[in-house]
Amino acid sequence: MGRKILFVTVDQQRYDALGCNGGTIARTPVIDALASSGTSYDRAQPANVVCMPSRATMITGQHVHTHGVWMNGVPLPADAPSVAAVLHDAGYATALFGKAHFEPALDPFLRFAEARMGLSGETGPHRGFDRMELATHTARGASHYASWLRANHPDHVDDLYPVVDLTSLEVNPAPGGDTGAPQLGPNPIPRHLYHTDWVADRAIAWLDTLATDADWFCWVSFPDPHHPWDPPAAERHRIDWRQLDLPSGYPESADDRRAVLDGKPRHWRLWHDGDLVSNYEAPAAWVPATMTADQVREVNAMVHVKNELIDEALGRVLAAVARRKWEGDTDVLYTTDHGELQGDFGLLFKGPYHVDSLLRLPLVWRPAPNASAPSANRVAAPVGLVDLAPTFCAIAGLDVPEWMEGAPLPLDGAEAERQHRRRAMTVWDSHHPDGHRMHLRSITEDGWLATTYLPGSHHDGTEGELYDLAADPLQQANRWSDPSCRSLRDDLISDLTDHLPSWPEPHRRPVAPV
Amino acid sequence: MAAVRTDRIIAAPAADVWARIADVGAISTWFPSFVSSRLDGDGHRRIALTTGVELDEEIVFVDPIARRLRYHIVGGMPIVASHQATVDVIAVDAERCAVVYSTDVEPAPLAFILGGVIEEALGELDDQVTAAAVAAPAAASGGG
Repeated sequence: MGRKILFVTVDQQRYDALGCNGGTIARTPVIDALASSGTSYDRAQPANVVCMPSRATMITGQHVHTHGVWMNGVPLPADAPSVAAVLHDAGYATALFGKAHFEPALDPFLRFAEARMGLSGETGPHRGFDRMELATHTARGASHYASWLRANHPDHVDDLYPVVDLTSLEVNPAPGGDTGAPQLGPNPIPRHLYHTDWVADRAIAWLDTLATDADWFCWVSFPDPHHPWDPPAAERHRIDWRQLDLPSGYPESADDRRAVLDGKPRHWRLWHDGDLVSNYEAPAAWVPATMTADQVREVNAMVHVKNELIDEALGRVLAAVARRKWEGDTDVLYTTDHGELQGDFGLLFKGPYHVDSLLRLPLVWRPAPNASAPSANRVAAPVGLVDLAPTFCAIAGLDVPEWMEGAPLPLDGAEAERQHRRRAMTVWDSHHPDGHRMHLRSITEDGWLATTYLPGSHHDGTEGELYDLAADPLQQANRWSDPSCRSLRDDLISDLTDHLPSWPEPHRRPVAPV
Repeated sequence: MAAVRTDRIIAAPAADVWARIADVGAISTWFPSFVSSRLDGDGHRRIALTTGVELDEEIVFVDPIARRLRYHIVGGMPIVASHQATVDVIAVDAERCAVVYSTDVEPAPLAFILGGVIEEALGELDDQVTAAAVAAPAAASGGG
């Protein structure tokens, strides 16, 4: 009997959301306990700051330009390499519950398996998973959760905030909540019918079917705290938005916000002012400059309500593992696919904005207690979500396949040093039907975050961003053009160029906006 | 409004490929996700999708000289606010042609979706036409 792997992901969560990372709003005792008996990573970075490319990196262990999912809407081929397939072939029972998003979420022609499965009720096998039961934020889509809710609780189908405006296929800008912020909703759905608890319930049900001596890989993928920010109304009382301090990354003065944005490449200010729709992650009709401080507070409060619900749902899954007497042999890894601006710079959502709001992720690894691994460690060296798949292989005692581009995560700083952990890299590419194109290449190394912009519709290839992460943790002072930083900047970009995989043509076509 | 263009070079004479496209009522034989299709007497093509939806497309013209087809989606998908598709078959040489499928659609995000479906369809069309071209000489020679 080998080590079992419980891989937990959430969607669109910030590093500072968790108590173990200094968060003070959401209570996250379950995740904090995992961190205290394992390893927390203080500089974990995604390969891309939107869902599909980042999740493709998680399942393949490859950088974006290798697996080819370069933008939301580019599907990961059904025969793409998969760490779940590697584990399955080694005798592991494998399953994913919740959000997959390896294939487009908007699939009206049912071209892709994830949508067909959700409507037909089939559960796999797919992508190396023996079983997949999928969930997103909506009860009107093609997921197993949506089909289940429609069939069993039709009175609650309309409770959930409609993420997408079905007349424009754009992210819904409809105001809600107490403050009228976008993507806020009252959501009367009972907690036990909400997708967070459904995902935990389905994972527990599957674990309960397994033989005692089974080796298993279970990916529990919560759709939250991604917008819409509509936790069950009965849970909103947990955090009173009126009592919240504003985030440190939100300059209260509009003049200060504009000054910070003016120091960054031009698309930042253009989006803030409503003069550019840079991506499909935010409502096209919403103008960030109109956001009020109270809206920032309420959005943050609802995000943290979701974070608490996730923590409690994870607690139930861990209790189920313990009930089966598996706890000693189970590795637990927890992370997210990318962050959320959540008020920083006067912005919400995500997009081609490479700052810690989106780039610095929570990542915790609690090794199986019976493995006698070091505990209560923090690793400061940069690591990437590209390292997750190799880590799963190492846990299972398998050689890391040659097609994986990461390396097993270090368990402490000394191991990070032995591994020569120096850098983490993130890319952004987008090309929209309206002609907008953006290309960012970022590296975190030696305490600096550098981003170079390739030529596109709004950049000529000379722009960039450079931040001293220690002196400027909020990334408000862009030093790209600072003469005193030129040598450092050039070295960082040179190192990025040397280590980022090439992007061979042809590039696969995006077949949906998300 | 957004525009998307999908094109493919097919190793078959333009006339052969045009014959498939111009048979507008038979589009479901090469377009994935289309269960059945028919051309009705009112100049509309009706297409049944795997989702159970029936698309209603108005055939604007079928030009055999220019080898150009134009049609609009006019019903069956309420999300479509406006749509126009133009399909051109252009001879590259005696044995090859270019199929250029241009679509203008509103709302704009649909351009992604339609572009992807069309790309898959042109791949299927390519497979069918080139397979038929291989089979035809073999049949003529009495071999297999």
